[in-house]
Amino acid sequence: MICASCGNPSADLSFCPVCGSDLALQAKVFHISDDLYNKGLDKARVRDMSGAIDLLERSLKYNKRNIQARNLLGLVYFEVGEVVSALSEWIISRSMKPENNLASEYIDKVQVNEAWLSTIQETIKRYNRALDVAISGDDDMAIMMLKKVVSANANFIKAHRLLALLYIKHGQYERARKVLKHTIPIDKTNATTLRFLKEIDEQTGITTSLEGRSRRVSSGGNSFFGLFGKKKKKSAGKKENIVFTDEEWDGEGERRSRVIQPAAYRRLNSLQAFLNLAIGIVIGALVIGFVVVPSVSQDANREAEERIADYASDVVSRDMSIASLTEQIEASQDTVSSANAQIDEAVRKSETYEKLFTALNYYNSGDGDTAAGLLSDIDPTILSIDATVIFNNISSDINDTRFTGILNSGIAAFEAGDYELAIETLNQARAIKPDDYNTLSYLAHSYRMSGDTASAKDIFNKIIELFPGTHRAETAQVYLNQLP
Amino acid sequence: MLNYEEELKKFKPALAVSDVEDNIYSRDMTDVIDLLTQLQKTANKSANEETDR
Repeated sequence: MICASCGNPSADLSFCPVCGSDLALQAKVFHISDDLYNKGLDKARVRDMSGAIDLLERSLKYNKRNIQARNLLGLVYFEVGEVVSALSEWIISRSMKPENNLASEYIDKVQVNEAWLSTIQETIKRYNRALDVAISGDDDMAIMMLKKVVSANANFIKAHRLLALLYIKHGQYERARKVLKHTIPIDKTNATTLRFLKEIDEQTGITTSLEGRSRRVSSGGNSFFGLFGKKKKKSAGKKENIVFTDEEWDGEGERRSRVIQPAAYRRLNSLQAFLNLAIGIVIGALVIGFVVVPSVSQDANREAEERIADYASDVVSRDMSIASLTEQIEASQDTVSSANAQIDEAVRKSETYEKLFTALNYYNSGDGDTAAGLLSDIDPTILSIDATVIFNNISSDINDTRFTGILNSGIAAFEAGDYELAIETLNQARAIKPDDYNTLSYLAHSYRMSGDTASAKDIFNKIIELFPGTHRAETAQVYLNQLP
Repeated sequence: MLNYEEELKKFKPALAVSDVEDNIYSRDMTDVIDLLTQLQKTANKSANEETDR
């Protein structure tokens, strides 16, 4: 045994002869560290990555030079998407043991694949941005970014969990469940994942089935299986893989450990290679036919549906804009109509007042007929109270004047024996003053003298009706009785 | 019932690949063996001091 304190080989001694350290105690510490490593290895084998990380970190707390534990811890970190932590473990491991160390191989394989490393860097940056966005409250943007992250790096467990948490926040439990179920094959017992799934189960009333899912590694993932798988093509041999094998060391005080090493590949003969190639082509064709083509078709359909939805949204938005503009136009038209009506009313009032003033001028100059003609075109309802008084006064005076003139003309025609003219003129006078006795009397006699007895009787009856019990009525009755 | 805000606080930014060096140097690499060694050194020092007296 080598003393861990001073590095002196001390064989089977209980105490180091150089530094005096208790070698038996050191051996016990090594044993604990190895025991924790073995338990961690068992956890990793059953995909309990969280449990494995816990045990392996504890193993390294006992013995930081436990290379196997550190390398395995790096692998486990790598498997759950913690690439930086994985590289850190391997670099430390290589610095502790530069020769015959699998960590060197792991680091080389990661560094050689620059495109993959670039993708990982990009997904880490995007995850960090998505986390900032989620903290700031823009959940939709965060979800969109995280979808891209988990699409590019299927093993990035933290991104899956954050995406699931955002889905849970918005009540999208099935989506959250689907996202979390993707992580189960990678890490079966993570406490956060199980807590989120429990929340989903409680909210939906459906228990999430965690069985029956095989390990699935995305082409964009950082699985060591996928990463190392690229090499098998070049070697044209059996799938190069990371396998866990037991290797026991005998001897007193020695450790019982298990190691990680690539499986040896076996060479194939030409026929087997040809058969494998043919089978590979057939499988490839089937994969393209049943997986790739439907996937591409589905993507195209989804894209088309999204475009249709966008167009429909645009159409609805434009329809709403058109409806809004139409309403505005109709409102404007109503306003214009109202304004036009007000203008028309104002013009009409203006014309009416103008006619009133003109009529007043004619009236003042003694031209009652012209004034009367103008007044007949005036609608007194649109005049102001004062203007209405003026209108009424003028109209009354003019009508009196006109009536007197017409009546005199009618009487003159009657006296001249021109009964036809007398009837016409007196009817004009009657139109002005329907109840004037003189007008009615001369009109009745004009009808009587012209031989229109029916009209004469009507007028005489009108006089009797308008002036009952008077001399006028008696006279009218006398003439009425005389008529045939 | 999950508390979204509390759960969100548990998410920390992921380390970038360029942060590997800082991640390594910032680690506390002390293990139980180191503690035992330190204890042994302290014990040896005390013993030497006793001897010198």
